Amino acid sequence: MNETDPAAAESGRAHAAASDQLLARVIREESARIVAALTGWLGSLDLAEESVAEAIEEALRQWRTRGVPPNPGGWLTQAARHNALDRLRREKRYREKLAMLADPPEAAPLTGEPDERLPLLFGCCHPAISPDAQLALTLRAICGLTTAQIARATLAPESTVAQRIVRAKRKIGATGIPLRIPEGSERAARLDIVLTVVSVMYSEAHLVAGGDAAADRDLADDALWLARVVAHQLPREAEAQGLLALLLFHRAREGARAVDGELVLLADQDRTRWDRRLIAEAQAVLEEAAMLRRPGRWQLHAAIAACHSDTRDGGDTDWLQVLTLYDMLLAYDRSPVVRLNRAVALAEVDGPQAALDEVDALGRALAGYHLWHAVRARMLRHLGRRDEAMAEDLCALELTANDAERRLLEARVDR
Amino acid sequence: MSQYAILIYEDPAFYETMPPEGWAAVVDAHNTFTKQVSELGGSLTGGGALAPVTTATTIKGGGTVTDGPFVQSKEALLGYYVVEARDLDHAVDIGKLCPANGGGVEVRPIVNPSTNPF
Amino acid sequence: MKYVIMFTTTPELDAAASPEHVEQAYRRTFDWFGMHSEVMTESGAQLQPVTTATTVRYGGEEPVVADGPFSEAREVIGGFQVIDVPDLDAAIAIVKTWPLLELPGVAVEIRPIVVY
Repeated sequence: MNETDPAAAESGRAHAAASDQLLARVIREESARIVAALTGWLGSLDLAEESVAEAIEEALRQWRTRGVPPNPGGWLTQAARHNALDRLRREKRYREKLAMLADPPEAAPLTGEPDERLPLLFGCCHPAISPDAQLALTLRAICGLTTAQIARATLAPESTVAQRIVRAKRKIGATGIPLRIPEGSERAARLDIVLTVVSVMYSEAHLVAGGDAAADRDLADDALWLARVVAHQLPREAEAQGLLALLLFHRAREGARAVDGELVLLADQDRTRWDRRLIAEAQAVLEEAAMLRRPGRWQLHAAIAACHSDTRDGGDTDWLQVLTLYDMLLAYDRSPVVRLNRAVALAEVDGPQAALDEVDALGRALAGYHLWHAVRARMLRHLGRRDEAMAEDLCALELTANDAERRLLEARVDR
Repeated sequence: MSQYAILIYEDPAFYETMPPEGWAAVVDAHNTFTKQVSELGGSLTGGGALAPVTTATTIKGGGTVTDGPFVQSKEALLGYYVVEARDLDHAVDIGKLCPANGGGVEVRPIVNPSTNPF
Repeated sequence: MKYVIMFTTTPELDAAASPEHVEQAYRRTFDWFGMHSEVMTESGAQLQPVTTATTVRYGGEEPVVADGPFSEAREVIGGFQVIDVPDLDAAIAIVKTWPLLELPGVAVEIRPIVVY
């Protein structure tokens, strides 16, 4: 569409157009640092974030066709600063601020300096902000997604996402939510919220319309990147390492999980498609975490994923080990979804009837969750109760919004 | 004389849709009200305007922190006054003059710390 | 920053607590106020029970006076206190130690005070 734009065509000859992946990589490296620096300068996260978001929109428009400039951080900082000053002059409520401003910060430094992204991240994931807004604001302020990208990636209407972000930013400003890394007894609970947001970000990647829609940002990439940032910045926090290990294990299986847009169950996955390099990294991170001697739910989730990663085929899983880890996990997380996953391991150790009893006990909490019906169907099928199993599979099918998952369930119903 | 709290409850939408001139009028109305209280023989001992309900944070048992107000209703508590009045009728007469066009006010006696039941 | 902290309860849930427990928890609220006296401003009040509330409702030609609280919500405000602390986290840290939070149905709402 830019063929009619002479400037773009001109520069297009000199620079290669940037791919979505490259843009994502460059922008998420810069976004949070610039938001943090401008927030310090302007004294307003709302204004700083808005100005950076606008700069990112401009960058995407230009860089997509003309390529990424040599100093993208400097480019974005300059553009964001310009946008901020523009708003200060234009909007009455900001005008007083203009006279009080110190010299603007230069392009955010890329190395050496203490990382300002973490305090910003803890602010975005404050418990006084609703979970949906925590995710949306983190995606925009930290990962540098545009509102439209967030809307596509989380299946929410763009106006809803925009409203969540504005509300959350204003709340941070108006309510005096501090942008800092909590210390002492508060740290663990607050870190868990951050890690939960990162984990939800990763899961959202698998819930995108159809499961195979071509979104221009892969939230799984963003989540893995953010898990790395947090783990790197907080090397003594075992749970931050645990989440990184967990996401690495999942990422390693990605190539086998979806083949030609079709989902493949863990037991049936072709192990040769697993990324051994990522699995080795995950194992190393998890071992480092264990040495800190501060167990927690993310490390246990990762340890369970590690058990599966040790298998050569679906048949040699150490289910007793998996079940033991789930039992330990229950001490930290008794949520119905964890208990449902534990039931799958229980079936392998104590048989399908024991597992079905446990699954039935979760019916009240999970009746609207398609995987509850899918797991129940599996147990019923193992017990030879085929008609009931079929009915449960149909229920699961009705409840899933994801095309790839639907095809997997359809294949089972046809059988 | 006894102390009463005048709790101002209004529909937040009433203010969200108000043009900036309207805000100035609201501030004027409150300034007028503070004068009227002494004309009626009462006195103001406290008061405050609360930030919009979107800034609310709730803490529940066990220390759970959540976004949003605890009291869920169409009209939200947006401000309060503490007045000295002879009796409830006097306090209600004062309350009738309190600006709250987007809803109304609730008048509640205050526990006197010196006669606190505990 | 100044925040109003609103002490709220759900009366129908309060009934579940034993009177001794309630009284004992209330006693500790005095220590709580003492312990945090440096952040307490002069503005604050413990309200009489919601059964003592009178409502003035606007909207018609004349304000209408009626018995009962304004809000029909299940939750009611029992009192409020304005505190002056550096930020929301400081407010949350103090509120988390409010002795009545251990009673069922009790919650505390925090909102910034508008400064004109």
